[in-house]
Amino acid sequence: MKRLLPLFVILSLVTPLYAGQTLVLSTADSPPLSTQDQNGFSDRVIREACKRLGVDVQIIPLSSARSLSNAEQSIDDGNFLRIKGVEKKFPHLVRVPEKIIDVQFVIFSKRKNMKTPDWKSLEPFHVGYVRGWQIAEDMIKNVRQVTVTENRTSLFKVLESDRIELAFAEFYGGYYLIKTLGLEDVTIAQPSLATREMFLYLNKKHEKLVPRLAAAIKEMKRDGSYDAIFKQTLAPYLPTKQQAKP
Amino acid sequence: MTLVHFIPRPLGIARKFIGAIILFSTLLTLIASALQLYIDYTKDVRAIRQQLVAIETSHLPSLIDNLWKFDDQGIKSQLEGILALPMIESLRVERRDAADLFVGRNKGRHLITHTVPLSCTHREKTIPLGALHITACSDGAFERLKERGLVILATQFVLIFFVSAFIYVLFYYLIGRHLKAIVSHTAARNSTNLESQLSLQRIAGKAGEEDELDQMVTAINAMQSQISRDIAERKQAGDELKRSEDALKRQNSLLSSLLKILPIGVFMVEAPSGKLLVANDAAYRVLGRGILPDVSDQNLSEVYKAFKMGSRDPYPLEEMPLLLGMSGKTSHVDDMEIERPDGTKTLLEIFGSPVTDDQGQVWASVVSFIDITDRKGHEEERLKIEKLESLGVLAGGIAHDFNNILTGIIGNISFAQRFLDATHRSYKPLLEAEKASVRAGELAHQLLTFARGGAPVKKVISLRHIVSECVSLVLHGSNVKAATDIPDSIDAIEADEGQMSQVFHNIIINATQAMPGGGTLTVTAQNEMLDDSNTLSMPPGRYVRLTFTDQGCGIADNDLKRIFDPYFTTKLTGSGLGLASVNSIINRHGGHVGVSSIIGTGTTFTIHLPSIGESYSKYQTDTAAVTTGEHNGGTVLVMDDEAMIRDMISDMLACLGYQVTVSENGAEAVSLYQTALESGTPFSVVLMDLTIPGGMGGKEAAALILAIDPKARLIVSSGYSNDPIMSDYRTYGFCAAVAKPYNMKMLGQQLSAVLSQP
Repeated sequence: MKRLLPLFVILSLVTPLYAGQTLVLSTADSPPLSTQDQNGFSDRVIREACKRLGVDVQIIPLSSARSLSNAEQSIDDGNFLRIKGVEKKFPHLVRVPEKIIDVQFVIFSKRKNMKTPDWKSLEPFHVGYVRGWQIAEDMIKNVRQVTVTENRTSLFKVLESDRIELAFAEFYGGYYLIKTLGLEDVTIAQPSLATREMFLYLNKKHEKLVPRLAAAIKEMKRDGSYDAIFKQTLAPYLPTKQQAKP
Repeated sequence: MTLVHFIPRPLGIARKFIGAIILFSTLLTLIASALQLYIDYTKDVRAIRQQLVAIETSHLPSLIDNLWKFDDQGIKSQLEGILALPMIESLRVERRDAADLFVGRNKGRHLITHTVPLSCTHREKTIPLGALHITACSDGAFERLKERGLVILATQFVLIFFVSAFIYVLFYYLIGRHLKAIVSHTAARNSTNLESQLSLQRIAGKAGEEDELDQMVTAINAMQSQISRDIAERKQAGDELKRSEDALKRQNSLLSSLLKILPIGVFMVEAPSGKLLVANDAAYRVLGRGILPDVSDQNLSEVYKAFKMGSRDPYPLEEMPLLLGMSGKTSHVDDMEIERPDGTKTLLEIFGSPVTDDQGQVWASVVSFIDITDRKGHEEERLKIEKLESLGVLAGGIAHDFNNILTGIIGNISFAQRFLDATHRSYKPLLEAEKASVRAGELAHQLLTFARGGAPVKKVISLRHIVSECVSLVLHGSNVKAATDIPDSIDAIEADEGQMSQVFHNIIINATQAMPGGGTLTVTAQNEMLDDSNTLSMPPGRYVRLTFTDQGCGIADNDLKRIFDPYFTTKLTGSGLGLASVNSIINRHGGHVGVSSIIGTGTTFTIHLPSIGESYSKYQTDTAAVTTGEHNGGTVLVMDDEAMIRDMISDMLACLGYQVTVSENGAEAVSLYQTALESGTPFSVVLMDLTIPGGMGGKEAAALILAIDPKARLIVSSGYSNDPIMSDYRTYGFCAAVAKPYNMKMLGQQLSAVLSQP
């Protein structure tokens, strides 16, 4: 209780400054991280954190590049989920240092027990990925064949139709599609090829809000509300043994 | 290549006409073609614009969507789709938040760029995303325009060529050949063939329906006729003008010559400037100086040293004829005295007059002037002469009456002496009385000579006697000594004794005046025969040469030339008539007078007079021999108005044995002579007085008597002894002349001499 006291003091001092304010945050994330009704995992964590600061949040879906551009130009107030280092390219953005979630980039395939220890292991295969994924465009090279699709759904349908052998996708999104599309033959290869911490970025005009927001997210992780949101939004799509922690 | 290569130069109008048509048609064609091409081009451009608009409406939403999503692939697909449309050359998407995208390449020359702004509505706000630049190429449209233009121009030029050729042929047939004929006709016209009328090889229009060519032919023919008439009139006018010019030239020449030779000075100045216009030579000569080129602002009296006559007062400017003429007034003055640069003075008579133009405006002033110095002198001298003439008339009348009286005295004395013995006591007093009367007669004769002058009344005289008498008379009481060398053998001369006395008198007086300190006057005479080559230009014959040489101061060469001029004198009180009279008298006697002089030595006058060829003494002897043969007897008709003379002559002639009949005047004498002639006893001789106051004189009566009887012997007698009739009596029909007064002896000798004539 003694350790929470300073946080409450800070929150009580800062809250009035942002009371009644609405942050417009854009995102290119897809379900289950972000949904149309703003109840995806990321949506709920960020809304809760802001709520705790007395700030309303409006989340609008945009393409990846557009969401970054709007936040940079202050058309919108912020953007999520983004890896570290974005602020180098978009100098008007400030990262909220407390990560929202770790995202794993993995291979889905119909091959059982497929092992993907490194990127090189992909070379013998026909690999597909969604257009615009920078990590895929950078790392997937020298494979037998590449197919780029316009969206995730197309990618997994192409995989299901055996038009590609491996589909490079994000962990939660892949399981979400397997579940929603009923792709029973598709399995995930182990281990993941890369993991990235994903953060919320705000335009610099909201720079003062950044530490409080980070603190709020941290508090959510500590008080269990974060886990509760995980269980409600992500766990349902994951295999059982994966449902414990994000 | 120009139209000259196709259409000959003589058809210049056709060439210009065709040229104008071609030029105008070409211009119209070019304008119409340009307009048409412009419309086509506008249509093409409009089609391009419409296509661009279509692109805007059909492709723009998806393009903006892709732009919003940063879907470069989608954007490129869209742009390539647009690029495939006709005439689109290139596209460029300008992005605010990303790099620009290009599709296509501009290869055409004629480009049209259309820019479409791109924006997206986000959260109810319009977000600018960039712009789409569409570049379309209109080269195709230009190519089409070029092809269309070439087709239009080619067809139009072919059309113009054929139409022009047709018009040319038509023009030549209808107009050109006739114009050429008109040109040939008019070029061949000159002043000699204007009568040839112009006609064209065409069907002339009916009366009232003539076209322009017919009217031109009519006009040219009328013009030819008019020109022909004009030439004739102009030639006539030219001839008249030439004659007028010639007349004017002659008149100018005449005026110039007149001005040049006029002894009258003339000069003319412009009014009001005073600029000299004309001045003749006489003007320079009379004034003795140059004429002012400009008389304005000049004091003419000072410049020309003009004075009032007889004074040193400057001549008043307001009376100057030249200035009066400039103010429009005519004037005449004769009292202006000019002092020449050489100091001599000239008296001028000046006539001044303004010169006016047609409007009566004075534009010049002219003056003419003459030197009246001599004339004034002459006038004064004439007045003097007139006075002398009046005096002479008086003196002549007195002398005439005096002679008549003396005739009575001398006649009666000589008649009385006839009855007395020389030893009678009265004889000598009568002889002295007669001598005194004769001297009185000589005085009367001198009076008459003074009074009448004129032709000398010549008689044979002795030079020796006259010269001696004059020398004695003039030098008496003076300090001049005479040295006379006149031999006895000197020939007598026939001369007027009185005039000769005057000649010698004047020369001797001049000599004494040349020797105021005394000296010797040498007078010589000798006979001289002049031949044809004599230097005196005298007729050949016998002359008496007389010289008068003084020892005076001499005469300067300049004066010597003018010494015989009337009124020339070097003496303060001289009249200038003395030597002029000498020259005149000697010339009237057929002689010559010359002078030579050496300054400081003396002067010599040399006189040549025709001689009678024998000495006076010999002449007297001969005459006496003739008259000694007395011829008394016969009838004498005496005509004289003086009763005393009539009575005295009657007594004397009766005494000499004549039968005398008297008459008072010429008419009575003629009547008596006719009666005697008709009765067969004509008069032997008629003695007639020349002057009968109030009646017929001797001259008229002699003419009548000679008309009745050409053989009548007539003797004229007059108290006017120097009357020309007395010296030239034969011309008037008289046989002899006897000057009053005369004595009985002289009358008897004359009667005897006349009656002795066959």
